[in-house]
Amino acid sequence: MSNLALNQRTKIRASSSDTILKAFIYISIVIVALLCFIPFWIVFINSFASEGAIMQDGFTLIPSEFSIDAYKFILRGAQVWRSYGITIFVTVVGTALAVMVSTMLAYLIASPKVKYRNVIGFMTYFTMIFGSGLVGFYIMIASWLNLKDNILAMILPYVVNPFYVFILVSFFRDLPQELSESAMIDGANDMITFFKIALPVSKPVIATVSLFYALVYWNDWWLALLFIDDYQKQPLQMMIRKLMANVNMAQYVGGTTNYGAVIPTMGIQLAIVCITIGPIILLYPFVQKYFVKGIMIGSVKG
Amino acid sequence: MKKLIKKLMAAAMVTVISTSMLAGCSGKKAEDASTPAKTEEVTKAAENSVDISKEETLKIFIPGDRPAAFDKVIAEAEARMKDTVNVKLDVVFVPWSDLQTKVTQTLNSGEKCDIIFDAPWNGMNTNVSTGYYEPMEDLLAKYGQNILKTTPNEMFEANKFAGKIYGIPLGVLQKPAGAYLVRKDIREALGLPEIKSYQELEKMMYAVKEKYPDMIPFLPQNTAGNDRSAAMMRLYFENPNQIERTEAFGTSHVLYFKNNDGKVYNLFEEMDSDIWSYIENARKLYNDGIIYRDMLAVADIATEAKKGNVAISVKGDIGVDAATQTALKSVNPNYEFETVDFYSTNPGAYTSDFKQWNFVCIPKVSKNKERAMMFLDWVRTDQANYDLLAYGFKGETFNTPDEDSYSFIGTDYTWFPYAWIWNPTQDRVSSDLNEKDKATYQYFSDASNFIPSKLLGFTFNAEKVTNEIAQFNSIEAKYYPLIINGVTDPQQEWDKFKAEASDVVKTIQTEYQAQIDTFLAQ
Amino acid sequence: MVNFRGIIGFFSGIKVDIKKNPYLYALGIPGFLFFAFFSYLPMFGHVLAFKKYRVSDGIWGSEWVGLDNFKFFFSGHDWINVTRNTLLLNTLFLFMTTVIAIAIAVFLNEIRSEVFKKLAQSVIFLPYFISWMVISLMVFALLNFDAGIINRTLVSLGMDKVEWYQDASKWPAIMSIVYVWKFAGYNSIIYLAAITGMPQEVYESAKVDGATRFQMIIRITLPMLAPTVITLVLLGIGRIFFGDFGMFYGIIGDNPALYSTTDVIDTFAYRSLRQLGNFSMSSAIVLYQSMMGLVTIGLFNFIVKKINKDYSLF
Repeated sequence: MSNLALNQRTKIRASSSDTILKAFIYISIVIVALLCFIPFWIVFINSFASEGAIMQDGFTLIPSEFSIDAYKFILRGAQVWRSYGITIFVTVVGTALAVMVSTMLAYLIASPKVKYRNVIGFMTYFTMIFGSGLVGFYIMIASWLNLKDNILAMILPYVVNPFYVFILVSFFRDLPQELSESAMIDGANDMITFFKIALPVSKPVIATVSLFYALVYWNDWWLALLFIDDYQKQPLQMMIRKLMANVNMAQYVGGTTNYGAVIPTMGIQLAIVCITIGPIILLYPFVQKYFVKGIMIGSVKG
Repeated sequence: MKKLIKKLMAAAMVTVISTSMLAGCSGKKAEDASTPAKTEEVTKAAENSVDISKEETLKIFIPGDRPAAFDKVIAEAEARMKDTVNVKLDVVFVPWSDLQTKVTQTLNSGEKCDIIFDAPWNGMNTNVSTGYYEPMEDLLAKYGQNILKTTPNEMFEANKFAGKIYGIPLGVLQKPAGAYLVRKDIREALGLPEIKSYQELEKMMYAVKEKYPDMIPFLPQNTAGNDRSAAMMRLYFENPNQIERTEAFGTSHVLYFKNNDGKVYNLFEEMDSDIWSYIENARKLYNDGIIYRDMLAVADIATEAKKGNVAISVKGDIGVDAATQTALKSVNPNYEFETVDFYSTNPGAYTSDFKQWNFVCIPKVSKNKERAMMFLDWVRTDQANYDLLAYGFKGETFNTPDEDSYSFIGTDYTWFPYAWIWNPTQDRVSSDLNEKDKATYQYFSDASNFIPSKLLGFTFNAEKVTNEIAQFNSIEAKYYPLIINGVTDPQQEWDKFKAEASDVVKTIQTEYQAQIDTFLAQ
Repeated sequence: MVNFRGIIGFFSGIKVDIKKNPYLYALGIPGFLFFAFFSYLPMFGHVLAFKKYRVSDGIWGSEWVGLDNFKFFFSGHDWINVTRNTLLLNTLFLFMTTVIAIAIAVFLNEIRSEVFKKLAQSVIFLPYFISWMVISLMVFALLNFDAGIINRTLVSLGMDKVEWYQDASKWPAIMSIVYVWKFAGYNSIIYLAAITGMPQEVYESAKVDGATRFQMIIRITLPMLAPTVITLVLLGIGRIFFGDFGMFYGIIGDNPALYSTTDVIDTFAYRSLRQLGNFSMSSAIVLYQSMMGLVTIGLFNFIVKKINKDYSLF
């Protein structure tokens, strides 16, 4: 009897502590979400404000006067749509290639059977801290590989990112050994095991890494700056960087001359943020679909 | 056309006058065989030596952002050049923020590049000494006659690197000019007459402080323009000792010239009394709440001024441009900017070393050097060619309200002749300038108004003191902007600055003086 | 001699290993190729840090100048200050972002309402996309002395205004907050993926034992996250001597009053060299940062390896 009462009391205490925790969690997440959302809302809504309104009132939650001049300025001409197309192409192809190559390499580094996995791991990590140096990198791609003005120049250099390889490695290391062992017993080799077993159970991490690679490709202007001179092949971020730098020219230009830029400067900076977020933000909910609990366990059982 | 002839004649006269002045001055340079003006006869014979039957493509790198109407402009230019130069133009626009990276990587890899923008503030001196650029004397003599005609000879003489021309100077003003940007509507509301002296300007600052407590009375330049700081801005106008900064450190006056005597002075050793009084005045303004407290944190002072809450600001050129005025009026149609300067417009009032800030160069690796020069020359054969590249299509992207001014229509084309073709002869004045500003602008565009500096033609070679300059740049950044804007106690901060930087500055000063002595001895 | 034999031993060892695991090594081949072309071969460019470059002499032919290109950096005493700032700020960023990102991931995982969860997840990801330029405008709108939102709030609460842009001591905290704000949501994705991958049985049996949610978080979720956390922290440590130039130059700009705590190696080198355009000197700085990073990561990896071999990177 007393035992039962005790048990009951623990349960009640547990559930009331759960309620408090739950409330705390919900409140914290709401606060964090607001802290993230309000600045974004300000950027978003003020990108539709008239230049005069932003200039006078600064950042407000609801601008006093609306205008789409900033968007008109950025979206005029064919360039922005062409650049969108290039960016989407580079992102899709680059991400697919990068995820493929990176998971394969990560599987090798994670495999306990490989005696030299640490050496390979170190070689991978080394490239991250010891970049290649700008001059060598440029000559390699522009002169030796002859990729100037070639879309591949915006894809290939980022295919193996050590950072993401190691995220994959840490995930693969946690895969239960029984998985591959039971496959091996069934006569599969390592490659088949990788494709048929390791990949399918790693969906959450692969989805995450895909998202990261997609963001890398989506946000990149550096490779385009170096290797793509043909403006028809320049991606969105490069186009926008030129625009931004023109708007903020005074920050970069030495000397005494003012080269006045004739554009709605504030509104453009904000509109640019919204335009670059564009389709990539849609990718995130898509990736979330793969964050499903228990995939791994389910497959082991199956 | 009439205008062109007028301008060409003016240029020719300037050349004659200044050449004789030069001859009187240093006695030697006019004899130099490589002086472009002397090689006219050679030109005629060589004119047709380039086979233009084959179409070539020129790859051109300039900073900026591609205007919407650029493709059409280029197509038109190519059509006009078909029979004379026969080139296609492949123009690559480089973001301002990445100019240095792009320029050095492009030049270093040796890839195709026929014309490229560069500037001393962008590392041009290093690029010249690294050996990237082709000396231009021969090319100019053979294919650049119109370039020589449209750019005063002083500009070439003054902008040599190691004794040779490595770039065509792009510029119009023969001496850096500046002005205070003042809110006219506020001045009038305060009942003040047109401002004619610094004292009157200061009076307005204090009046603003009193009557408009929410406004920023004075916002001087903060980033990348120490010469337009609260203190140094005054040297533009009140400069009895003719103090000029050296070219060692960008916009810093720590090493300076005075009275055109060919000596390098060092502010650590000889603090100029005018400069120090300007600094103390800046400190007073700051303490009195006149200079904006957070001035060093402002990203861009021009943007800040356009918001409508700055009464007085500064500017590195003459007059108010249309964009700035329009932006301000979009906040409130009653607001208005005017510029205030205290220049004398008497000929001979100022000396000038005729240094320009921007250049267009032809790299050694170019396989089309002749065509590149012919293209740059073609722009200057006819005002219509220049207008096309500088302003676009008349009636579509720009108008000419009168003979030598322009105004843009819409935003399909932007103003960037400073990146490749700018010159005093073909340049048009913005139609927004008022009569006073226009007169000042024209005064500054005419080389003959200035007394040539003793050091005309001298360029400092920084190679031996690169380390010291790099060190100085980072030390200076810690103290100098604070001192010259009155943000901290000047004496205390100056002592710290001096303790840290005086050794490296001394080394650079010695090297600088040695190079000048060698130059003057020649 | 011994070394030589060691190298031979290493290569023959690898040969044996490849023979033993041909399929595994085959998986790595594409990755190796990309490394070779885009990382290892271009490393020859680093020799420029020791050369006085002349285009006519080429990269190899140019004169060796020893450590001359490093001189400008190490001559004064600012290098100590900027190195310390870089290290300190990056450590702060790394620590705070990790803690907050884990908290966000764990909290999100506790949320049952799918709609709310997805919405929150998407929203905390938004700051990642806002450019440093725009962020710097917002920081200025918050912190400027006369009209800044924070100062106005302080005044309305009866407190004194703060001179944010003059007081360097406040900026490590401000920069950390900005950094966390921008990147915590982004980083939480990795942790969330790791948490969702965890076996559910453990939670279910804990529930049967009457554990509270809080206990489950402390006893189950966090320990199981440890390997991922350690990996990410180790990865961050390798780049700890590289400052985020876009962030520092965007927000601090050329404001000397804040240099004492916010000047990092990258901004310092930029200011020293922007007018000179000498890339041998800038390569020298990058080399310095890489070397320091290599030493640091070597040390930390060693420590982690001592504690638990499975958690080390290599």
